[in-house]
Amino acid sequence: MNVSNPIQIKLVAFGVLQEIIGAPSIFISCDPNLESCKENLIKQYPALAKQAIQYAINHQLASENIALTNGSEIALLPPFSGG
Amino acid sequence: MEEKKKKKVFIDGPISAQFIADSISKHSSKKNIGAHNIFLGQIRQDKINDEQVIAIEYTCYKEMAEPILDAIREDCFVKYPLTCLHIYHSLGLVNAGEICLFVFTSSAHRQAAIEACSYLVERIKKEVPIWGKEILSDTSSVWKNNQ
Repeated sequence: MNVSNPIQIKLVAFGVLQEIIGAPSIFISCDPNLESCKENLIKQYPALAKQAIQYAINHQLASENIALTNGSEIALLPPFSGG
Repeated sequence: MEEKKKKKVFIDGPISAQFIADSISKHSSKKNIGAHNIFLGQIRQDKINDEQVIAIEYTCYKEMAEPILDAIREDCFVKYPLTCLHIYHSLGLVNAGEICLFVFTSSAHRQAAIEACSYLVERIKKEVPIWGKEILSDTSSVWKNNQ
């Protein structure tokens, strides 16, 4: 059973996702894993559910439910459109 | 000898023709180069919902973009026999008709420079966390989608 304590993470968002969140960065609390962080975010910002999002943890793309620690930086990245 | 120094990529605003010309002329002292290839990305005046794109405003996640650009650069040097390579990308506002991306590869013979340049452009567009917001003539905006 998961009895882990919530942690504080820094969330940074870019492009259209920054417009949905309403700020370049916010602090949120969640259980220490990415899935919990995603669930909390979508509860708080339902418009995110319709968006294509890649997540990065401490500047590395995260494709699975990896563990988070206090102070982790989670980035919400919409599809890239450089060039 | 290959040149693999870390270089500044991001430029505030458009990349000027003078900057590109200066960059070319700096290579005249490297006499082992026999071929350069250059890609220039220019802001296209697309039409979206009957409005013209007048500019693109670029933002990026620098802390993530810089190590990715370093890795792309390293991979390119492993894959192709290059003398040097340079990547410049605009941030902030770039008007239609202005240059926003400048990729410059040099090698002893043309094939490596040409193929490496194309390889870099594709990887930059696909892997680097940069976003373009298209500013339309009625002052509304649309987030750009790469083709």
